[in-house]
Amino acid sequence: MFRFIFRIIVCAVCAFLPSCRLLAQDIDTLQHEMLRDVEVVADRVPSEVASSAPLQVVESEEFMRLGHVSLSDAVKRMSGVDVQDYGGVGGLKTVSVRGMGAKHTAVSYDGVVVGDAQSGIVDIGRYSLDNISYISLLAGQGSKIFMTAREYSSAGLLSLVTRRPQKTSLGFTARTGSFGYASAFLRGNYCFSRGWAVSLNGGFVRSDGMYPFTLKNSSVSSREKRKDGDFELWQFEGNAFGSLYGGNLALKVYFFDSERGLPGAVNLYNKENSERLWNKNFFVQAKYERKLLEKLYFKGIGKFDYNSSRYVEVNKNYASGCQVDKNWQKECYSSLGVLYKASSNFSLSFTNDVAYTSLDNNFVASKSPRRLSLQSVLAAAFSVGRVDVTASLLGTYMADKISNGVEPSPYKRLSPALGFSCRPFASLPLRLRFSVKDSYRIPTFADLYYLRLGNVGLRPERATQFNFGVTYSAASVGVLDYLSISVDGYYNNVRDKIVALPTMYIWRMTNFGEACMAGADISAMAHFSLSRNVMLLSDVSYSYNYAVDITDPAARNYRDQLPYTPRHSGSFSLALETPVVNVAYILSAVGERYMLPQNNERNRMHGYVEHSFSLNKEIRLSGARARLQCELLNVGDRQYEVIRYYPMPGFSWRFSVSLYI
Amino acid sequence: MKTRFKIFFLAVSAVLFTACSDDDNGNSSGGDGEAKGLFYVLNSGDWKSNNSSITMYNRETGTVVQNYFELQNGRGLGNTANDIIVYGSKMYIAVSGEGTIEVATLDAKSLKQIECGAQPRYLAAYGGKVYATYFDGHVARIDTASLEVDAKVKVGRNPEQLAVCDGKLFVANSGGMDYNTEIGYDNTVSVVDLVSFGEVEKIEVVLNPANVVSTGDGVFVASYGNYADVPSALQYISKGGVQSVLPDACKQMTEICCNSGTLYGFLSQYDANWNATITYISYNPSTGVVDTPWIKEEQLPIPYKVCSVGEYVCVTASDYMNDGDVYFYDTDGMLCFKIPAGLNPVKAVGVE
Repeated sequence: MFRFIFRIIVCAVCAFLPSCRLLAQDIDTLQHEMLRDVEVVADRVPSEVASSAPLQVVESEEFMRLGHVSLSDAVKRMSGVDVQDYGGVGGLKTVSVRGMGAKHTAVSYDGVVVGDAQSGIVDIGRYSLDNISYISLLAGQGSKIFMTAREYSSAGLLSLVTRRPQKTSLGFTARTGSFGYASAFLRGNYCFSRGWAVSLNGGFVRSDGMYPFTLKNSSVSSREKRKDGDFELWQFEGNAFGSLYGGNLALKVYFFDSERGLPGAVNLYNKENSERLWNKNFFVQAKYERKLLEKLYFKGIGKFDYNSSRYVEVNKNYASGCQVDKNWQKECYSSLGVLYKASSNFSLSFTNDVAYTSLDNNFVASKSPRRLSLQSVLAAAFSVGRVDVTASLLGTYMADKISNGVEPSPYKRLSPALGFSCRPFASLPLRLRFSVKDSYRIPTFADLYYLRLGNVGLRPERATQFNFGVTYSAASVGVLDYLSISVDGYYNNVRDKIVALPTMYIWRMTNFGEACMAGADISAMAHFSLSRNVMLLSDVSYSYNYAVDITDPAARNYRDQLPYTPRHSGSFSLALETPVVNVAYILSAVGERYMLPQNNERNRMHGYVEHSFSLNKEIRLSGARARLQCELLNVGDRQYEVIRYYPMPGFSWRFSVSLYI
Repeated sequence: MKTRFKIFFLAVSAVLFTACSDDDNGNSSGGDGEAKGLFYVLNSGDWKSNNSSITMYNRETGTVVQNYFELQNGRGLGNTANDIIVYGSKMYIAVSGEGTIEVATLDAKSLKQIECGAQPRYLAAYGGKVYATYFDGHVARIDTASLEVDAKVKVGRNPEQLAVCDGKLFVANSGGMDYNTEIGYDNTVSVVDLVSFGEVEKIEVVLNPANVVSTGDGVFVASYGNYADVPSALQYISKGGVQSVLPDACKQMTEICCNSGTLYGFLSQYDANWNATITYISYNPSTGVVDTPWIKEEQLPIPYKVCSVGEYVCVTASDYMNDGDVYFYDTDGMLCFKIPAGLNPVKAVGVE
């Protein structure tokens, strides 16, 4: 018995060790930061506090602690982020940073930006956290300079970094839950003797999506059930890591296949909807990093990506009784970069991205666009005393070819950015930061060429971000084992917004409007030991976002809050780690929002608070580990919507079992 | 000169009304009937947002009440109401997104919600019946006493507006749902005999016809074209067949309504960057007189739809983001009054 308890304690301590390592890193100085850039061997977890722009990192230990299963669970808790969620497991989930819109946030998967050339939107709902080592979200110009040009080009960057195998092992996770939810993932790692390692993982997620909700129609409320929200995905990923010619090579093969019903917005009376969507994605990618000369480092990435989608709507309004839209996207992408580390306090990088993207579909008179993108970024990082500065200049050239019709003139842009971070007092773990970044989004293929809707005259949508912040982090403050606080104030401006506006007959994409966002993000994290092996970990964040339309002083929505952008939002979590069981409580709160640009009573949506609990326990068996997790989500059964008339599920539960050998 | 024309118009229209009225029971939205002081504006709202609404305006008291249908019934119209007519002692509202036709009293109190099993688009009334185009290619006939659909007739694909003329129904078959397939837009107007309630003829017009209005001895049909190489076109169908030779100024006009035998509407033209130029055009087919702009005020609204309400010609204005307004002009183009409406106002009607 004693031995068992001892094992649990050891286990708890082991589980905590990685976060100790992180704490040590968080309190690092510039020296360390500079080192990280040249540390091309492995992706180390970046430091939040030392970043010149707001950077939020969530590591797998934290997902485990709080019971997060999907990427959107984790992203929702970040400050300054709005996750637009269309409800259910299969509902579209997009990320918007500080009210700038989902198309200004890039998502990178192991250092390569994934994207959809057609819509420009990435559905983060498709990513599970099963094989993720950590995720990070950067808003503005950060401290890391050796990145691809694509990673530089967006206002916000959500990075997903997968686990790298450390030893030969096998892991299996199975989950079940409310509304027909089930998933299973299998992961195998094999480490060869000479530094090579392979990992294979794959699995599926499915859900019926038939959850009950309350529909309010003026003074009448009715209890309804969501229909046609079924979802199924299969995913497979293979990785190989090794050294080759003195450098490090990482290869990846990825396959994704999903089918889902699109339940659509709930109508008040007519509940019939018959739309389905199939997505397939396959890519292979290779990444090679090597020290070329003394002080000179090289990084090269190559990727081929294939995406297809099929959308079917059964509706007797169509002559054939249904509409079938098929799209095929292909992309070849490469990024080649060098980093020159002149001295311990000056480094310079130059990275060149080339991509060729094509889109074909089954429409009549489809324009079959092809896009050549050339993006180069020159960046420098230097430090003087306790001050460090990064500066970058991104140049973009994009040219499209289409099979018929007028081609837009090529897009050319230069976007500068500057980051500044300093530690004013040597004795105090306090840092000041400032960053300014110019970014843009090039019109997507849908914006330019979508039948009837597209407009080849579009200009890029431009965004400017200013951020000023203070961070503080210390390993031991009073009774706390760890405390970190960050306070950031920002001002963003988005001009030439690309929106669909009606012409006399049909909707057209146009550059219309300007919006600005002024706000503040505050977050704090604290760890406290109740006893030797009982630990309390808490974090809290609050965001204020005054995000308003400033297009036309005569318009009724002038200075009105942008749709689906809450002015107030926040989250709180508390995790109790004990040898017996780990318990976590998560609260997320979103203030009132408006469904349409005009802030009137009719468009107002009430705020909501959601409470969730998670319990987990890890059991060490001989040579194996088992982990049990139970989550109670939205325990108050709060009926709410993120997107109007896309109801969210009320109370639900999930149960997971994991085995690791 | 102008006054003389006006008198002439009135004389002609008086004859026309007796010859070819939408309505033999009294009030109607179709350009005839006497709108005294109570007006309703139908706001279609945003697609899939369940925010269609009715704005009530009492001109005598100056009262404006938004969301009037909801206030009267404790429930909303739902997703995308498309058309409203007043016929006899009832009003009819076609709610496309819900597949319903709401029948209500003249005080907007619901009498019945007809479930169509299809998307109703536009409404017309004649001889004690209300006709509705269904987007699945039918015209339904509603008995105004039983409030049941008593018959359905098959017409072309995705019919939009319809108008009654000379005992026949003229239905614009747009085929708009197949714009991106091999099948493409439709290009016909179905003529439905109202006695036999059967399609008697399909008249070929320019691609993608959508709007139809009756002048009394014929109907104007506005086709949108394909928004690319086939431009929009206005055509006139009378007993002699399709007459395409219209004055240059109005031959591309799409948004139309008819008041006292004269066609009022506007044309939007776009440059390469989709900046609009709006031209307000009126045309009298019997005299051949074109008046541009027919609105004689200095300030011209950014129009969304036009309709005829009693002695007024209405222009609804919308920017698709904010609540819109409805401008009421007299047939001389002078602004009489304006109603602040809801989101995307599509039509106004008047009742006693």
